Amino acid sequence: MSTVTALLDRPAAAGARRGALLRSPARLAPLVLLAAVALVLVFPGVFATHAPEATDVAAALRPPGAEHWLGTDQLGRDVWSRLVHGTRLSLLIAVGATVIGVGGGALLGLVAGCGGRQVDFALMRVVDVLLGFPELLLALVVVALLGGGTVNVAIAIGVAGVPHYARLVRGQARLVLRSEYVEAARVLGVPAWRSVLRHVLPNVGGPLVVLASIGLGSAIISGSGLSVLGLGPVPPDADWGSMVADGKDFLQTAWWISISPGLAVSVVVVCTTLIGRSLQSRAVR
Amino acid sequence: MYTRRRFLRFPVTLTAAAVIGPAVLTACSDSSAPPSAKSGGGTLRYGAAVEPDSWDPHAASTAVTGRLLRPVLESLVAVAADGTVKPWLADSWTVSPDGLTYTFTLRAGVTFSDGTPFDAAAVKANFDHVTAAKTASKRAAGLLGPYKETEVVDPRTVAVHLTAPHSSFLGSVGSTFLGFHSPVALRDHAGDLSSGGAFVVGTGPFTFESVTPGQQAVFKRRSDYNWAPPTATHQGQAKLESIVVLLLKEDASRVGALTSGQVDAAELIPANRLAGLRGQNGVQVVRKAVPGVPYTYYLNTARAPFDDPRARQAVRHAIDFAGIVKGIFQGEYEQAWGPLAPSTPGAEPSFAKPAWEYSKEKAEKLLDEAGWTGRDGEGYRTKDGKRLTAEQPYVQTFVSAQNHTFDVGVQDALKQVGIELKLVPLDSAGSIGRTGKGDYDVFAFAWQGSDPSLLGNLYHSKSQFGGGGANGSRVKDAEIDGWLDQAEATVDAAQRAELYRKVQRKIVDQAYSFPAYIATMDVARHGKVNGLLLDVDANTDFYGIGVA
Repeated sequence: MSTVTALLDRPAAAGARRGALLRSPARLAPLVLLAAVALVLVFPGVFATHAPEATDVAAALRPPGAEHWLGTDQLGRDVWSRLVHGTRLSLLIAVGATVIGVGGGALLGLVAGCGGRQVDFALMRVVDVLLGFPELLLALVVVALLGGGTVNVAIAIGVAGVPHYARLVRGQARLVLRSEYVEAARVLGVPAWRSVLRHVLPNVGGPLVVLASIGLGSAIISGSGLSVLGLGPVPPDADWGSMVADGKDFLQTAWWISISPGLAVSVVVVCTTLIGRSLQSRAVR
Repeated sequence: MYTRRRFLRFPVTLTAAAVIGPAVLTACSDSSAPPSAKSGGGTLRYGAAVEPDSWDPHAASTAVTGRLLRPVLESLVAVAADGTVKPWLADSWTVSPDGLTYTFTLRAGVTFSDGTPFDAAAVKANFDHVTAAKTASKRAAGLLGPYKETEVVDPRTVAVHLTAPHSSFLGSVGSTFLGFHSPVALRDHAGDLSSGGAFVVGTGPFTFESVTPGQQAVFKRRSDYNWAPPTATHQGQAKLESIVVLLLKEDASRVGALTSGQVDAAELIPANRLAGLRGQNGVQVVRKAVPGVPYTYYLNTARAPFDDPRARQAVRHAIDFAGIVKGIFQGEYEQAWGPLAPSTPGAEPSFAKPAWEYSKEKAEKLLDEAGWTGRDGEGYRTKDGKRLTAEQPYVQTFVSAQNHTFDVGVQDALKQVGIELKLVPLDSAGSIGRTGKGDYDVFAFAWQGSDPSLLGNLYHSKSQFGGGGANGSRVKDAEIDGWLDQAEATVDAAQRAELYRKVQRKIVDQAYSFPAYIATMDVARHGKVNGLLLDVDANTDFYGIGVA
């Protein structure tokens, strides 16, 4: 938290080094990779060689080759095509969860930070309790209440992330409210809600984006994790996590079923985390 | 809070877990099972796949309880591989003409390992324990059926009275679930039986020494044992000095324990590991088809679309069962054709061979005839603007990964002929709610058992979900009801068998349900283990096993 709060002391820093991100090849690589993934996400039909759910039992468990680039699973489904089509659900779950987490966290944090002392105390104690649980456990509790499925998994992970974002926003909001220019605005008779919208929200936004870009990676992990447990998308829909689960009994005999989606998760998570980290270090510098 | 360390560590560890999760779990469970027994010396180390929910067969629901306690708890009769009933702790028996009273003459000289003689009072104490409300029996009480009371005629004669004829009674009393505890143990330790170990005292060739929950159970040979049933391969005391059962729930860890020599034999080897194991030096696989009802798809005949026999037959024609079985089980399992697996005593013999053909053309034709001639934007068939769609609820924790994959294969096969199958994941309570109300189109499950009378629980109109039965197809067929009732009432074995065969033929003829594959119990053993055979229930028979 302390690294992120430091942002506030330099509200101008964010814009000053724009462009630095694109100059270093080490920072460019994850962006390029993610752009490619985004392309696959938007146009899966262009990249897939087969229908993702089409079974062909005569071609079950083929190793990677010319016809099936990443092999086939036990029902003869093309692993590459499933990987391509699974991109959309995997990332939609993660993005959806992050949006829910950021939205909920921002709302909760703003209310706590800008509301009265008692509101703040009550909300933050709730947040403290929630922070006591590991995120994945919290998500599992929510899934247990709502049931599995794509949308519920996104909601579960999002809700589990809310306390983290709420803490950040609340801290930022209190700092901004105490700053001289907000004091000045208040003296000039600007209504409180206007101060929140015009001053607090924009200043909270920066660190929130940094945190969200890093949080996206862990949301992909959580989403895939829940899918591996069989709580994610219901067949014939598939995401990377459910593909890993499909192949877990075949690791010794047909490793390609699980390894490909596992690698896809790793690559995307590393990329989003790298971008988030560079955003973070740029902001802190 | 969001420090650099936390963010880096979290994704990396979890990603690793996502990719190699099962392998990690394997390693953990491997190390948790202590290699407590020394190799050789007449000790068999056996890897079991399931931990019993209770070590008291009278109360337990898990099949493994009966499997592991067979060396300790014995029964009045023994069931041979062909389903015929042989004397064991009972020398002989008679059945009253009305089928309500079974009178057993008990074998002389049998004692429990605590020294208590086995007599009529012991039989009564056990059957009364099975049916006592406090026992909350999940399986054994069902086997006893319409039990009224046990009458001690004299120390060596006991009469069991039923309230209604129950033709499967004799075979059922051969089950470990109706095996005999020492009456002293029942009197003094009734509350401790479930935890196993030395509290469980029987007449068998082994005594139950100890159990460490989640890890192992140890059995020791009884030197004065001399009443093995005629179905056994030898007489006198057991060949093994002791049995150490290691509880290895993860498939991969059980197979790993076998290949590393941590156990001498392991049960329930997954199909996709069999080929690899057979190639390993000295490892042999003993297999037997599991008797009972295979994993079967039940179509809800009580509502559209599967109230129409043409729709049911179309579904059956549309699925390439053989192909899916081959893909998922690596050619190790066979397609099933009848309501009972061929290894079940009383299974209709003609269903050991193909009973219908895989033909998408026939499926399409039948669906056309049934009026599903339209097509919607997604390629599914429609009738009067309504899509041909079916819902299959399932409970994830009850459906094995292989069976779930099977469901997905069926889903795509049906899509190819224009039927939408929706797989609906539910929790246990949600599933019971839907099935109880009949709010589903397809439901699938397997049912282990070695008597054709289990057809009554699956196809009798009185056996609906919610009423204690498991009539997954919601069949209300007067002819089937009649045959089932007659079979239950008759004491004539040949007539009973013919009635159950009629039931099976009608089920296939009407396509009420269709089975997927015949599961087999595969027990892998090292070369030094000899005499490992599987009994009528496809359970390991420990009595005849020796270790070189």
